[in-house]
Amino acid sequence: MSSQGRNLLSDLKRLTKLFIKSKIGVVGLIVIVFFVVLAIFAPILAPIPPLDHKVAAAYDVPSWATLLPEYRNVAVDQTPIATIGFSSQQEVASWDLSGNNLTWSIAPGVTPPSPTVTGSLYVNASLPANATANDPYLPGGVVLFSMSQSFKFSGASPPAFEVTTNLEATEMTNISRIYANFIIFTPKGNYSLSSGPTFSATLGSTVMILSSNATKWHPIDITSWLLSTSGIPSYTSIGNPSELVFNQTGDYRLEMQVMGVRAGGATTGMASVYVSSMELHLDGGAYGILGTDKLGNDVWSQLVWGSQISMMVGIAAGLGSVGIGAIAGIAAGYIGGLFSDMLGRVTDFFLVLPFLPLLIVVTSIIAANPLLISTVYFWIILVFITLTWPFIAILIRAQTKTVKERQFVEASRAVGGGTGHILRRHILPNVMGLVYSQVALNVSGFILLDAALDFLGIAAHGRPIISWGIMLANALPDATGDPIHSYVWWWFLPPGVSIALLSLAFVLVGYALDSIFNPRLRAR
Amino acid sequence: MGLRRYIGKRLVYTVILLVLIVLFNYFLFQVLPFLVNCNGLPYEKCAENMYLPQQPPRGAVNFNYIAAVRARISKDFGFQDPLLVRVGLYIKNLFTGNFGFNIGSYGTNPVIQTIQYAAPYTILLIGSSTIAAFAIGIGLGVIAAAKRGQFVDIGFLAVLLFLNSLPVFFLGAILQLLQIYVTRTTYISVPGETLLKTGWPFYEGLLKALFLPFLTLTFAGIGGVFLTQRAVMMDAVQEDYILTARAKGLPERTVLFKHAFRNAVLPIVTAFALSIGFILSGAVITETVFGYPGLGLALFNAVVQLDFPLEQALFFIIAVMVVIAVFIADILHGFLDPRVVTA
Repeated sequence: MSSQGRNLLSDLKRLTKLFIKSKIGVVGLIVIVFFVVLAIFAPILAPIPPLDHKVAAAYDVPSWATLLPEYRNVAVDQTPIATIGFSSQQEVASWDLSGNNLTWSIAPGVTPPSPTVTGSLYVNASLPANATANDPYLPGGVVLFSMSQSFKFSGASPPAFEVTTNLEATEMTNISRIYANFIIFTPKGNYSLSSGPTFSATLGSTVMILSSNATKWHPIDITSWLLSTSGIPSYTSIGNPSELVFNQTGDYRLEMQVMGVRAGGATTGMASVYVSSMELHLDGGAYGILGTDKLGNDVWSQLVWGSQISMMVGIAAGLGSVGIGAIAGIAAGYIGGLFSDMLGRVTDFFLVLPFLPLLIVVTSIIAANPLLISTVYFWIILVFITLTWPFIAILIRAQTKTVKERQFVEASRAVGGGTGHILRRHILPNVMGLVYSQVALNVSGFILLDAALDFLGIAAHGRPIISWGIMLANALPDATGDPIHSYVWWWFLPPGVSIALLSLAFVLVGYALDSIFNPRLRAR
Repeated sequence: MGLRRYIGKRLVYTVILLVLIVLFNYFLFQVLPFLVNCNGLPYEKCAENMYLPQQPPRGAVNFNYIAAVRARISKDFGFQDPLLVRVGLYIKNLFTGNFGFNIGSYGTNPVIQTIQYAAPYTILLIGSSTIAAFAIGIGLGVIAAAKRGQFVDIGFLAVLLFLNSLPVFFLGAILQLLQIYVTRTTYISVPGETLLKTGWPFYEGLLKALFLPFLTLTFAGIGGVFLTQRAVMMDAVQEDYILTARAKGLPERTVLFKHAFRNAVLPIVTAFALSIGFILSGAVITETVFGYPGLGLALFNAVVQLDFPLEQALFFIIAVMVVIAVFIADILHGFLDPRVVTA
């Protein structure tokens, strides 16, 4: 037993030595190890969830790309420029609150109880009697109260900015509608953003009803409706407002005006409003290791997490398929006769099955079934194994047959070596080389196939998962249809190149192993 | 065993394979619909629902029409008959080219029409790109084998290995990008109106549509051919008769092409015959990426729309083509290499 163990160890040593000699094999192995590390340490390497939208602005180039002349003037992401959320009392205190007859308090967990409410600002305000409507954009609105905060801006002009807040009216008397206007006071001129009528909170008597959807806390999210306060009194969409607003460094002030519209016939009005999570984001044009995609997802994070599916499917299917193929092949080769013939016929049958179409159809069926969809990659692996093991089996059968006919096997049998002994000491060592190289070559093929299934959108079926194939499918419309964003090379190339590199690496390792175990090739 | 007996034996195998394929195809598509949308209905009801037209043709009285179609589906599929009769009916339909109707349009839109429309496009695309890939791959393979170990050989090997491991859809997308970059216009697959035109405008549009998919499939195919050709050529160059030929003082060109290449051509011929058989199944991804209106795209659309009759028909055609190609490859093998026949 111990001598056998020592044998195995020395075999392994010899193998490693030979492998290190093969340059392409080592290169392939390094690439594989790199991607395996990515897949395993994904939570550490890419802590940002890959499907989190808006971690930064959309279409950000990688931060290192700012070294290139084309992107020299792009600002690296700087978000948020001023943390103005209401997570603590201090932050509220930094706000300037003004308005008619105003009381305000921190409202931790008051109704409606919701995690986002905690630490929000609770404002009671009333409209002055017979005040004239003073909203130049939305007729009828009167400022209930306003809050403002100053900040310094020093940096390159951002490609986009965004003001968000949660605003909810809980009590309205003689007021029919509440909405918010944002004004940015710049060193040069003032600009305001209006949330517009579609985003306003409406309510009848004292019951809160939000206009657009069922979620109670309504993020107001405006990027393009930008108006100059001294300009045109209508909603105008300006292509790139941020260049206009943040075109110089200096002192800026952000103001939110909460507007109320009086109910018909009333002279005064009162309202209680929750405000929370007010934020101003200045998006940079460059972000992270690999930039962002159309939805502001972190591409690096997607690449890292996406490697897991390719790795898992490729390796599991490769091992399974070659494992079953090897057992069947060795058995058929050693026993021969009817069993061997049957294997040949089965392989003939599998050979003429239309592999890719069958794969696509079966996967689409699995994905369309609500019971099977959650385990779709397990089924894909199973289908891969089922459809490919016969090809490996006949390869290994052939090798087993030739080894079996060698003289040393005959000699071993002549001196009384049993089947187990011959299989273990003579057949297996001479077949394993082929088995190893087949695993590597098959993993490569399966990675490509799985990427194709993901690319065609068949495996995911609209579920929120990420893989390299899915990334490519997402990036393709932008890559081929949108010259404005420089063909999104930072989003489009990494998954494609990764698929190619990983599958090539497995092929190289396969070739290296092949040449180690096949001395005729090694001689070349 | 003579050549005739060899062919006879292969023929028997081929017929058995065909029967197996037909049966597999029949039963696969008996089972698959169950997994998707039968919701516990018995198969007959499920199939009836599935094949029912979504909308009755204009002017048809709704209730009567649906009942009539149900009855017709039931009769066409032989739901009242025992299983064996049903299978027999299916095989009979195959021989008459009756593949049924597209999903949701029973009695109006026969599957065979879809196939007849799409098949020429696929044959044109894959046929041309396969021939190109083989021509280039063989040429490069011979050159590489002749200059074994030199810079040319290693260069070809590296580039083509990389091309070979690029996913087809990625390659296609990169070519699209290049075209956009060069022409400064967005990529349009096949302009719909082109296919309605006749005469020269039609062919011009077709060529434009064919260009990128053709390049993609050619590039994707070269690698495999090159590797095979290089390997067999290297084997051939090491044979004794090549040494003899060189010793006779024959020019290197004659040695390579008259002596080595002729003996190395066998695996390539079989590979070519096989790849012609895989014509239809190879095009799914490429045609989908480029929106090229061939059978591959038809199959993809059928998969998305769960159009089982169309899937079944395409499967049948693809499998039959492969079976025939394997048969032809075997026969060619027998003709070219007498050792196979006598073995």
